[in-house]
Amino acid sequence: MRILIATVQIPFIRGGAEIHAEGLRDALCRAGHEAEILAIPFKWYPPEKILDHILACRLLDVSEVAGTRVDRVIGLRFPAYLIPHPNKVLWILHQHRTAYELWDHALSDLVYYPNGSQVRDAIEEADRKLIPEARAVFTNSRNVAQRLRRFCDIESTPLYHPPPNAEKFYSASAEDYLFFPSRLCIPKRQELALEALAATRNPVRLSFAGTSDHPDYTAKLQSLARKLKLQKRVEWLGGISEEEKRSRYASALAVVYPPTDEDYGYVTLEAMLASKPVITCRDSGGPLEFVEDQATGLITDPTPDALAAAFDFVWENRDQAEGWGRAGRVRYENLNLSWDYVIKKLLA
Amino acid sequence: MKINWFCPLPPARTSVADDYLVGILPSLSQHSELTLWTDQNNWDRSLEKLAMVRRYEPERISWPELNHADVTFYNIGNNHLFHASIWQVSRRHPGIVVLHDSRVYNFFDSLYRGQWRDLEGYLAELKRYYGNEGLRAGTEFLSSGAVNIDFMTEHYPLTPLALENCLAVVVHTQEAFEQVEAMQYWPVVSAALPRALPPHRDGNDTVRSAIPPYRLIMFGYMGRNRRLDAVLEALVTLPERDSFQLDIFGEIPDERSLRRRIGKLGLGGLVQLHGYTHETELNKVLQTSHLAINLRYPTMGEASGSQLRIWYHALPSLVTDVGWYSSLSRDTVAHVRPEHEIADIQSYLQAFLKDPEPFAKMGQRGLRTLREQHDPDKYVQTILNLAANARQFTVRKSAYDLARRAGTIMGSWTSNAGKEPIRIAEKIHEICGR
Amino acid sequence: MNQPRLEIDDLAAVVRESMAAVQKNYHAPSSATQTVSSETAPPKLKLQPDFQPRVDHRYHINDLLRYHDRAFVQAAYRAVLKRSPDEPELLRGLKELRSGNVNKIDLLADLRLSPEGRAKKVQLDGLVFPALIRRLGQIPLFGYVVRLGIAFVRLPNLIRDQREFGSYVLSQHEQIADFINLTANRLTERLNTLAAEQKTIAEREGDVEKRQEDFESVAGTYFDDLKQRIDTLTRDTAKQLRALRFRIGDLADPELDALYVALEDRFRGTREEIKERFREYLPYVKEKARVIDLGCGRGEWLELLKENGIQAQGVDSNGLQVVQCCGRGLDVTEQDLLVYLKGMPDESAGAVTGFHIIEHLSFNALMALLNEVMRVLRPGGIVIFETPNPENIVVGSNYFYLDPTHRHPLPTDLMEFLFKNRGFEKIELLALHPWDSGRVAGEGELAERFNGYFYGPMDYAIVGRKVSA
Repeated sequence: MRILIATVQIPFIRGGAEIHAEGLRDALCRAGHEAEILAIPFKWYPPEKILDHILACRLLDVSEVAGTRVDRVIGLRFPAYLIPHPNKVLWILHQHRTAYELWDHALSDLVYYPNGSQVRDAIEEADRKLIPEARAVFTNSRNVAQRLRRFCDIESTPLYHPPPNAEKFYSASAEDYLFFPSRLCIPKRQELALEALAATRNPVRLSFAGTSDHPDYTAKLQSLARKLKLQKRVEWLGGISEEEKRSRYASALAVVYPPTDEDYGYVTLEAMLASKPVITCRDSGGPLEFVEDQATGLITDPTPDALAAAFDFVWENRDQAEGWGRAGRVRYENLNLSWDYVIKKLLA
Repeated sequence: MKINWFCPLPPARTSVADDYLVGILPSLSQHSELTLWTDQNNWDRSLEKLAMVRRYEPERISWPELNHADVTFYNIGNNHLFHASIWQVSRRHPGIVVLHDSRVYNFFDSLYRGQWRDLEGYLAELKRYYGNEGLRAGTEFLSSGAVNIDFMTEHYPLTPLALENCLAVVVHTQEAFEQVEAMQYWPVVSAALPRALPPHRDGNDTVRSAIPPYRLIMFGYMGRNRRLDAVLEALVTLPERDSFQLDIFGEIPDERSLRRRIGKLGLGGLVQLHGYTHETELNKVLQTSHLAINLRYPTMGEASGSQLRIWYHALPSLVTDVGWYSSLSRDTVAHVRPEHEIADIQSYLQAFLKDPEPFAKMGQRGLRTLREQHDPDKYVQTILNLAANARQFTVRKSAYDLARRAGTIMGSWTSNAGKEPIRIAEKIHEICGR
Repeated sequence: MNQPRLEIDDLAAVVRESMAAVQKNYHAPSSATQTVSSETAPPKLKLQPDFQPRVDHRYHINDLLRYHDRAFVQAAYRAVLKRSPDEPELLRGLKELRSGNVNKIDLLADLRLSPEGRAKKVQLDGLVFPALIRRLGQIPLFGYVVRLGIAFVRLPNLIRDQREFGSYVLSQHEQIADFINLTANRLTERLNTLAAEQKTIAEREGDVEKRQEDFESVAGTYFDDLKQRIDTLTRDTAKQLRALRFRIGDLADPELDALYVALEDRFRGTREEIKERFREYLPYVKEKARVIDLGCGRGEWLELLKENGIQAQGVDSNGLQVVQCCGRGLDVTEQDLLVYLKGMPDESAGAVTGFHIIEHLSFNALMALLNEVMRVLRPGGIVIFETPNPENIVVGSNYFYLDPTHRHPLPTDLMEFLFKNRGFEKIELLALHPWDSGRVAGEGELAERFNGYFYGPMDYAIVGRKVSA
């Protein structure tokens, strides 16, 4: 089949969404299809630009290319998933969040514009009307599916996929550190982890891997660490290679991942692949679909003290932690996370 | 339902605050979660029992707070002192406009020329809405005064500028309704101007003397359009003039020259100027008056809050036969023809002297009309219905914005419209239509 | 209005309006460059009034019947179907009307009864009866009779209509003729104006060129003048700057003048004593007019020279002493030594003397002084400096410092070296003013040496000559 993956790009910035799209394309190609990524540029400010982009997407015609039909379009992100096509399937990573669950959030930008509510209404209208055009609607995670139902009354099916290079993850004996791999930014809550670290009774060590979009933010985190007198216990690995990352996973005592309302989160799955327990929080979203409290990891309140208690627990109970890690791996196997399955559902 | 309500608040000296808002506030605040927004430095604190009051400046206002409500209403009228800030906010955050005057040329003249001293912007707006013709007239108005403001108000009312960016329009007169509807852009609804009436009000508790001199009353801001000169002229040449006494309550621009005129005409004993008077005082006087004179020419397309107040006191009144006043039933007011002002005024006064009964009945019928048609609850219901449908209006507006944007973009490379507009419109309809 | 419906037509209209609005702005710039703006263009010829659609969509057929031909077709569509006719519809309508087979009533009826017309529900009063008649008239055979009857009945009307039409056409022709004449006149006027304007522009151009030439020549003169002034200014400034720098080395403080006078009087000795001592130098300066005495102080040397008929001038920076000298009729200037010297032309002095001045100068100033002296002396000129002798230990450690403005003792070797270095020749060192009264009595080396170190000459003079230019 000739398949176009309709997604969005923010030029010069690369993240999980790009990896996801590429993973899908590669999997489709491996399965013998012709697949390509169709990325449209997206600028969401000032808010009226969003409407422009919606109209622009609706005006596009990808039913055929150079005389040959495009058999299927898989829409991943707003507003690219609004591009019309008779055989469209949606696998929604997330909607335009600042119009929905982030409307009231401190991180939202839309609510600060005078025409913010007008544009929000239009986005909701467009999603409601046009998402059901697709012959099937899938979402990246249960979290996203719940939001889609709550805000737009649209039913959808969660469809999980493996993290990139899943087969290359391995496990080794645990050393004396916790591992927190993630882009350094406010929603991932590295700051919370630092505050928790300062409250532990054991000399727990924590390694951060990942860079920030804003160099100021890295400096800010590091100065926070210094202020809390954690210099000796914290390691800032910065941007590391995939291989290095896997090795860090392998030797970690546990993986720390407490983001705010994450949609999916590869980190949880990578930790499970490396047979490591995961420490996460009740409001972290995506990870909660995979982590079982006291069985494959720990789920705590999003406060420094609660997290500190979790850190101390794994530090003191190494065997139990190891057991949880192995249970996590087993759980992963049972989830049937494979690209083959994904493709089967998307092309049905 | 959370509603933002931008409006002048008492003690602002405008009937929009005194009569209109005070009349509908109890009902409105009962049926919604209401926030009043004002740029005034002080307001009647008792309002805060009924609604939250928030202060703002047009350059400094909390957009997130506005965005959190379900819908915002903007009250816009001709007086730039009370409505300038409101209009400026309305241009940025779309909402439903309650248009108290449909001809708003005076508003923009005072704002652009008086407050902002932005003549370029002024002329640019005239050109934008009325083309080169409007630009020419505006230039003449500003420079040579060859064209006067009545002409400009008549031909270039600048209503669309007041409604720029709005979701829908509420008006209070049929005339304004037709004017807005003819522009075929915004949804518009007409609702009779509300006036609160305490229960059991039947007008029989007035203490009006039955012997001359009969009290004539005029009140409110005595601008040029109140026809004061015509009234004075009519009195001067009326042989029976000593049977009357005229009281004028309200701010008078250039009071001194008026007094001089009155003196010159020899009406000093007949005419009394009282200046601006407080509510309660004015009401007391209205109770003891016999005939109100509420002439307006030219009209700005407004419904008169003062007229409702006159009916509230079951007073007969003389009104000019234009605009909203024309639509008032003949048995509730006495119509004066604008081209025969003095003659008509005199004939009515003489008729009153001969037999005041029909006039008293006129007042009673006015009171009844007030009760039946100008009930604040009915008005508030209309407002709430609009608020409930706010989502539709915003989506509709998004569609129109997109249409304009598409047109602007296409217009940058072609003037040949062809079938494109329909195609684009169809696409927009896909996104926004229901 | 309850639920506002979103109509595609309305949206399309908005799109079109926005396109048009942009186009209007686009055309504006180009039209502004034309001299004939649209404002003064001749009015368009309109033989029929414009059609204004009514807001309430109620019409009487007479409203529409007064239009003819193209205007009628357009008005009919806009009234009945609320839209303009597109090209094919317009052409078809015109063709039918012009052929005479179809009349206006028929057209209106067709439009109104079409599916679109019925949907739009516009009210057309007065249409039914005439339409009906027309329909009757179209029935074959019977219709002919009906038409004939109708025509008969209407014959007087038809004739009147005909006459009316004739005069209408004539009046239209009149209008057209008038219009053409008017336009032609305006055109001619406009062309004349243009020609006149062109002439003015050409004249102005010539004017401008001439002015430019004038300007250039005047400007040239100004610039030259300016350049000169700047050069002079630069030179003067440089001079001043140099003078300033030197002054910094030796800042004179007028307040200390009086103190200095008192000091000298106290420690130097009386005028008479000093004058006696100066006699020694007379032979050196004989026939060496003019003599410049630097730092002439109380003027003893100058007085001596004057008494001996040798032309001399003095310079000192102490205002009080200068006044005293002038009071004695001596030619003394109040000035800084170096500034004074620098102001003298080359080779303009026969001798330069300076008694007890060089120990006041900074090293830089001393060097500069030597340079200037060399310059100012005529070939064969002589320079004499007297200064305390540091070989005398008591002088070098004590008496030298009685004058707080002395800097440091200048050894004879040093002065000799400097003189040589500056190009002076035939250098002499004179040992002066031994302290005989202080000598210790006794023979032997010790006494010898002791007296030599402690009571030997208290001052020395160094003499140099400028041999060649």
